[in-house]
Amino acid sequence: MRGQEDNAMMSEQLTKLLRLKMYEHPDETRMIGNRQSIMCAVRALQAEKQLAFGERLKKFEPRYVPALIVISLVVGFQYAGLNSRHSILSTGTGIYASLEETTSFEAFSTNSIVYPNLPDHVRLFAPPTGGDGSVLPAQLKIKQ
Amino acid sequence: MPLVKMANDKQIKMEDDILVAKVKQGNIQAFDQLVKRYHSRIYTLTYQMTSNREDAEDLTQDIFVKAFEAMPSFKGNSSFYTWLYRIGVNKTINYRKKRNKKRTISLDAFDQEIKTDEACHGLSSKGSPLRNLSLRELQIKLNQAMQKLSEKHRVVVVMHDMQGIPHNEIAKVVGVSVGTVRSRLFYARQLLQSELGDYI
Repeated sequence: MRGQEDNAMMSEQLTKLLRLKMYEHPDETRMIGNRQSIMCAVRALQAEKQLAFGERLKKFEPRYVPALIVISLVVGFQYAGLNSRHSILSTGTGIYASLEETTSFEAFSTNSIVYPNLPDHVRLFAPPTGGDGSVLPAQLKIKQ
Repeated sequence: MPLVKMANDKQIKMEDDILVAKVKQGNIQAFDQLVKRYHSRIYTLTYQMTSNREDAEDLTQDIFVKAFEAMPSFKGNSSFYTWLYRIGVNKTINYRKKRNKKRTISLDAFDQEIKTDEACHGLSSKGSPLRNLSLRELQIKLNQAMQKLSEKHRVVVVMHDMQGIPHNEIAKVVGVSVGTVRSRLFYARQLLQSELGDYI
């Protein structure tokens, strides 16, 4: 019983002691400075976000500019070429054909040759003419 | 809850919502308004958690900058202050872990109002074991004892005993159950009592 009372009293004293923290107040000038530094950091962050495309280009290394121009020209021409081939008005003959035309082609497979399963030591093809595995260039014989 | 307070809370939430919408559109002045409105409360949280005013200032800045960065993801499911406070608690808990900083104490001065507080007056009254200590000494002892608590225990003491936040709200902010909040609070108070046993 006595122990419980002591504990309750200690708890009460602790609560009072913790109340002290409520009275600790910062220096107002430090707080103003802190608010200003927060806004400074936030403005810097915002400026970084809003960095215009032109500004980015200014920061861009000048030596990369010719490469960038060449790449954009290639991409541009490629895009223009594709568009002209896709165009309805286009009269050029290209690989693009209408659906009706495609049906007239016979489908064939390059993979239709069936090779026999042979043991590893049996060669399916004759070795190259070099004998040592090297391929000799074809020779042209002119008949006299 | 008194109706006047409820109306005020609604008014504040509405104003905050407008300011948040403006910030999302890139209005920095609106964020400045939010900083002015909540700076003091966030500083108090960080200061009470760290007992170091320089750390508290750094943390307060980090919290507001983080809030600004994360503003596009703020959906408005809770009030802006609750959301900001949650960022504050998480940042403060992780602060020492990341920086591996040694705990030093650098305290703010007491407000003059302390002299009129009856509870504090009772601490140094005749019959109290604290009567022989000055307020400054008490402040140092208390802050040293607070810093001996782990972050997760200190945060519940700060939120409940210093800021008067109810258990269920603490549970939401910290992300644990109400039972865990109660047990952490009980354990933290036991530790504080044993640390400050010579003075209370």
